[in-house]
Formats: sequence, structure tokens, C-alpha cells
Amino acid sequence: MDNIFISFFENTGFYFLTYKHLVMLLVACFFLYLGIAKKYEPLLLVPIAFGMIIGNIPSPDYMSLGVYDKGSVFYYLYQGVSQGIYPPLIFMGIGAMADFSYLLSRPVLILLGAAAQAGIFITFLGAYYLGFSPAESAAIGIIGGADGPTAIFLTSKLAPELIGPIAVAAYSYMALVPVIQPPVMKLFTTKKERMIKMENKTREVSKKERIIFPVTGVILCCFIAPGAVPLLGMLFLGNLLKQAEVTNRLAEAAKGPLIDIVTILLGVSVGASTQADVFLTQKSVKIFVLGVLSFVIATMCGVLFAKFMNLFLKDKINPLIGAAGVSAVPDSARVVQMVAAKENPGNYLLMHAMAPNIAGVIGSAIAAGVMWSIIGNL
Amino acid sequence: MTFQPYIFISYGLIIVFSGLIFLAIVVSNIHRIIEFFSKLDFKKRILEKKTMRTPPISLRLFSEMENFIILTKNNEGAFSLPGLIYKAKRAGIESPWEIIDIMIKKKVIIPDNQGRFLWNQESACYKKIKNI
Repeated sequence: MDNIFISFFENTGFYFLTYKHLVMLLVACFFLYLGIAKKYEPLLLVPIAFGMIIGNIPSPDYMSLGVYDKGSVFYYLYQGVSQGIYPPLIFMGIGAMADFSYLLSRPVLILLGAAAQAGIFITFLGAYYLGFSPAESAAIGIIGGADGPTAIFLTSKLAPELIGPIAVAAYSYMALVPVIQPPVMKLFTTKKERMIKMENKTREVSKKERIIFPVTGVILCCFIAPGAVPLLGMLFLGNLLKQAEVTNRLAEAAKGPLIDIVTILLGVSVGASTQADVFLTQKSVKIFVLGVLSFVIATMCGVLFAKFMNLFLKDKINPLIGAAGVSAVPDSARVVQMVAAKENPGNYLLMHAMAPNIAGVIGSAIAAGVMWSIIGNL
Repeated sequence: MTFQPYIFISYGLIIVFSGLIFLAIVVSNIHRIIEFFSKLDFKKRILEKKTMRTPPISLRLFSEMENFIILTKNNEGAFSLPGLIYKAKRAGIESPWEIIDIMIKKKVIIPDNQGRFLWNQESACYKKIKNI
């Protein structure tokens, strides 16, 4: 009888429990708290946090339950991450939701989306000098693109062993955009600059223009960076489905059930990939530090570039919208509105911030494509 | 070849920037291109041109039929349709088969049951042309 009980105990999670599992379970609970109580990106954080709980329940080796154990259910769900399948599907959903009208009506603001990508390359340099390989450094740098799917996609291609920490860092920092960005935005702008009201000079964008844009956009961007085809191809396809108006059913599916299902699968499998023994390493700590730095630098570059543009523009732009070049859609645009409204409640910048925000998505995908094509070739 | 991080990030930034600048330039011109083409309105122009070149059949009918009678003058009664079309084309008549089709339907020309056609001298149209 005693033997049966001991044998049963030796097959429970309690028997294999280590302090590392406990740490990860606590982190998962903290993420759940942030997602549910604080409402920080709940659609992402809740599945990720729950996946972390699932991935950190200790079990005997012979059961093969984790994402890294061939044959387990989570192993197959994780293939969507490790093979880079989920990110393009999410991009299609984003494309079907996105409205490029703001960007089409004020194309000059696209440059802010480019400026914020400097964070990616500067962080790359930091990671490289901290001892990471060029491929790993590129995967870490892309966290500054503030685009979870892009980060996962590039990491799956260049440094698959780092997918867990990079995905968690990217998504957690995306969720923490309202916490990370405002201090940086305030640090690099004066009160007077933050109060600049932007004229509503947007022109009406015709249907033809909205249909032509995804086609020209995909051709231009993907010829420049062919590595971005899976992401930008799907982004522009999703947008064309929406704008064509003859494929409404497909657009509804892409921005509704499809993106929701993929988000759940991606979140849970990314969370489950953070198993204590592979996740709690010095590398992960460095990745988290570099990730937050990447976000800070990207925000800083966007804001400073907006100030630089003001030297040449007749109608001044509010430099805060430079922070929206960090592509977390639409959170960074919302944060811009929030910060501007604090200084001047009658200042509405959300529409203006959407242009660099969308350009940031395109810019970070191009940056990922460039990194893949150059470093993947080394 | 050793990896040079500074050169890599310079290239990377230049590519991303130039790519988005290029996109911005194209985007800012899409509406101008659409405007240009809508001003041209090719379809309308082509139709107008066609209309100018070829007046409607109803207007051409009588004058062209007169030409056809002249073209068949030497045929002593019956004439072949392919031969008539050939002659009409050489004479510069636009779409002769359209006129011939109408003439058959209106029975201005009738088959002679030997694969050739004759002018129907009893038809009102024929009489009208002859009077002109």
C-alpha cells in the first residue's frame, strides 16, 4: 500500500517541483493580474500567462507533455510558432482591421514609422557586444519593433532557441506600452511641444486609392526586402480583402474568428514554451533588459525625428506622434493621445498618430526582412 | 568574411528608411495618378473616336446602299456576297457586312437560290434609293 502511494507521489507534479517552477508560476500569476485586473493587453497576456502555467507544471519525463517533447499536443500547437506560421496569419487579421486612410492622406508621417525602427538596430548592437551571436542579436533587437508577430517570425528563422524569452518579452512590453512610453515621451519633449495642436489637413481618400495601396505597397516593400513577404504579403492581402468590398466575408473571417483563434494558439504555445529549465537563464534576463531598452530607444528615436522634421515643416507636427512609430497597433497611438490629452484636453492626436503607427508595422516587417536576408545569409 | 556590426546597422537603417521614403513618395502620388487617368477617361475617348469614325448604321444606310448598287452595276443581276464585301472594302466602306446584313433582313437583296444575290427591285428601300 505504502509502495503504491510512494509510486503515485513520485509521478505527481509536486515530486518534480523546483524553485524555478515556482518562480515561473508566480510570474504567470503576475501576468494574469496585469491582464485581467489592470487590463494591459488582456487578449495577449491572458493566453500567454495561462500557457506559462501549463508549461511549468512539472511532470515525469516519460509523459512527454511539453512543447519541446515530440508527440505531445503542445508540441504540435507550438509548430505554428517555431515554423513561423501564426505570425503571417495574425498579420492578415491586422491588415483586415487596419485603415490606411490616415497614412494615405498624410504620407509624410510614414517617415516617423521608419525613425522608430532605429531602436531595433541600436539594440542589435548592444546585444552583439553583450556576447550574443549576430542572429541572436537580430532576434533580440526586433523586440524594439514592438510587434509580437514580427519578433516571433524573425526569431523562428534566426534563433529558434530564443523564441520563448523573446516572445514573452515582446508581448509583455507591448502590453506595458502605456507604462514604458510616457516617461520617455515626456523626457524628450517640452511642455510647449506636447501642446502643439495639429491641423486636420487630411484629405478624403478615394476607394480606388485604398484598393491600389495594398497592391503597390506589397510590390514595393517586398521587392526591397523579400524576407518580409510572409508578413507584409499577408498584411496587405488582409487589407485588400477589406478595401475591395467584394470579399467582405473573407475580411470578416480574417479580422474575426481567424485572428482570435490564432491569437489563442499563439499565446498559449508561447506561454507554454517558457518552461523553467529553458527559460530561467542569464540569457533570458539579458533579453528582458535589452528588450525594454529597445522599446525606450525606439520611442526616443521616433520623438526626436518628429522634432527634426519640425525644422523643415511649415505646419508643425506634435513630436509625441513620433512615439507611435513604435508599431504596437493601436496601443502606442492611444498612448500618444493619452499623453497629449493630459497636457491639453482639447488636443486630439489619435488620428494623426495612426499614420506613423501603421507605418511602424510596415517598417518593422521590412527591418525583419532586411535582418533575415543579411544575417540569415552569414 | 568577418561580420561588421556597424556596417550592418548602417545598411539596415538605410534600407528601412529608403524603403519607407519610397513608399511615402508613391503613396503621395497614387491619388494624382488616379486623377490623371480619370481625366483621360480612356473608355469614353475610345467610344467617341469610334463614333466619330463610323457614323451610326441608320445614317449610313442609304448612302452606302447607293454605293453598293454602283459596285454591282457590272454584275448583270446576280452577285456574290464575298465579292461584294471585297469590293466594298477596297472602296473604303466601313464594316460592309453590317450593311449587307441589314439589306438581307429588309429584303433589299434576295438570294437567287444559286448561292448568289439579286437586288429586290420591288422593295421600298431600293425604290427610294433609285429615286434619289
